[in-house]
Amino acid sequence: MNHLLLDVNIVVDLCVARAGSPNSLAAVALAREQGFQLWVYAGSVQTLEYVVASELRYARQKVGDALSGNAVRQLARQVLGEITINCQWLAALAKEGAVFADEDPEDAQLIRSLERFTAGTARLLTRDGRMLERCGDAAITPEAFIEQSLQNPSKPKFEFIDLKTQQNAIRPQLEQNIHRVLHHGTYIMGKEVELLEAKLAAYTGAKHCITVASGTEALLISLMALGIGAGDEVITTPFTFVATAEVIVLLGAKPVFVDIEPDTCNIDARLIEVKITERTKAIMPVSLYGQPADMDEINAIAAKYNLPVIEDAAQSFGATYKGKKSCNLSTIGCTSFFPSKPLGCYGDGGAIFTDDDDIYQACREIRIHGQSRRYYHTRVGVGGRMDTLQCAIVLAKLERFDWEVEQRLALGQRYNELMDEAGVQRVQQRDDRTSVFAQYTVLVEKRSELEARFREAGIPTAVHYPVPLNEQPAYQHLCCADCTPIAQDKAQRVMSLPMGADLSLTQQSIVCQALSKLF
Amino acid sequence: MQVEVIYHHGTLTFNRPLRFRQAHFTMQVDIPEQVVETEEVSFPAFDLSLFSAEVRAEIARLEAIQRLAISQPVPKVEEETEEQRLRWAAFELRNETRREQGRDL
Repeated sequence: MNHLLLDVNIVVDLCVARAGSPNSLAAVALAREQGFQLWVYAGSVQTLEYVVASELRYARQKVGDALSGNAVRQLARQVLGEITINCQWLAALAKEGAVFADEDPEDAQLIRSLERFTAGTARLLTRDGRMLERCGDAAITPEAFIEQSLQNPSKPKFEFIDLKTQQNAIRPQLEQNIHRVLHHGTYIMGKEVELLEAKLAAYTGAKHCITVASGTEALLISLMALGIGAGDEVITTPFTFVATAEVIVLLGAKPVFVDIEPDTCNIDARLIEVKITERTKAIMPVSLYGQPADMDEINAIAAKYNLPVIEDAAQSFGATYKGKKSCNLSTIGCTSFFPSKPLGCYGDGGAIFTDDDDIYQACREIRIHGQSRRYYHTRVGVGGRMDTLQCAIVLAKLERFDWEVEQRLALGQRYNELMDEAGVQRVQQRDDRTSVFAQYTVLVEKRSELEARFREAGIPTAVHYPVPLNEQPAYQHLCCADCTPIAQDKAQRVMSLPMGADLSLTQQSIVCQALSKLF
Repeated sequence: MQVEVIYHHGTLTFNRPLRFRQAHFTMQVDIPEQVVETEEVSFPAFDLSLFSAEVRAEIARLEAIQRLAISQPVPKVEEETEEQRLRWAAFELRNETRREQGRDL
């Protein structure tokens, strides 16, 4: 994304009709159309208030209306509120405070504020000759911007998962949460960790939540808490991200792969029972693409053989199964806060959910090197804590999460309708559960060709997953590829399309039109 | 009566002490022609038809805000405090300095 920081003179142009206004208005409108992020420097608020007020007073005097200082400032505030509604406030950072040695501290603040952006992605829009001189290529006039945009229009970039729009929507809370952690300084196990765990447990309805360093760590710690180790078997799906099987193998156990359903791509519960042996210690279904598997059937089989069930809900936080939240559908639920997940952080993070007090205690201890109290290690553990900063980020995202889930459900439903109209095969969703569509996945022939055509059209796609785990070099000795023919077939045909709570209806239509043209 | 005053950053100061019977009245002020800013800067104009309908609609939305700012009635507000007057003066100083440097506000 490209960024455009609006200098004070441009914001004044937008607020009050004066000589430079028409071009400033056009430049800003063009920038929005071309996907630029518009910024106004938060440190300029008071300058903006008084300069806009001053210009408004002059403009109203010209039409015979003399306003008092307070009246015109009130009007200026209202106009500024309306004009900046599509802009982001660029936070004033500490580095932008120590500018008194500069010939013009006000200018220096804006110039320094540009340094936080990746080089070449941000420019200052200004009509101020001195700023243009000082900034060089990093500043541009409205007139030059218009010329450039008309000659060489840039298209808004189509993101596979649009995290930037989400970040813009939650930026004030996000910045406040991050700054709070920087100020209290408890970077490990700070108060945000406990607060997030309480909120996540309440959200899912699970009795306990333990945040951990990643989704993979959540699975590993869960298996360790269940005492799974060498010689044990864990039944799972081969059509998933590698972490599901990786943690089993890491503990010396063996993943036993069960084929998937052809319509949902989730583990086929009807095929599980025949794979149970005396070495089986757990069943680990994956809620693939954001939709839980047949949990009632899986739980019933597990109960029959007294086995725990670990739901790998890395992709399905927020989904429901018969009215219950994913992560609270079995003995243990594990999710991931990888940035692209429906609820993600800005790094790695994950969480374990359970109603079982003993499992909870074990997971808490294993997460911190197996210690039951400081430097007293009752079991072997790992360094598996989720850091406070990441928890603070998820807390900010959680405030918007209900809306995001609703958006995902609506967009997924619309994708379904559009795909069905176009005759495109897709992963199906069952009526008794919801998917949060971590991925929206269709089934296509000649996938490489289609991917290339989408790439040419500027539409990103992805494949989840191109090779089943039992065909991967590291795991193929565990199970023959032909043993799971449905997974083998789907891996050749699945293709995921852009999806996310902030996908616009226009973008969605563009994707569907592109896809239907190729069929 | 005619008195000499000094204009300084938005405030008129009388050269001799005067007391007024009224708090509010109008008066005529002589301002030297040479200190009044008359030069209107002009900018190249772009043909609106060069822009897409979305851009034109956004321009129209912004223009509507500008028009309303000039025409909408403003409710009565309290008199300015001394602190607010000082703040105005500070920003007038900023604006005047910029004007002297030939810069836009």
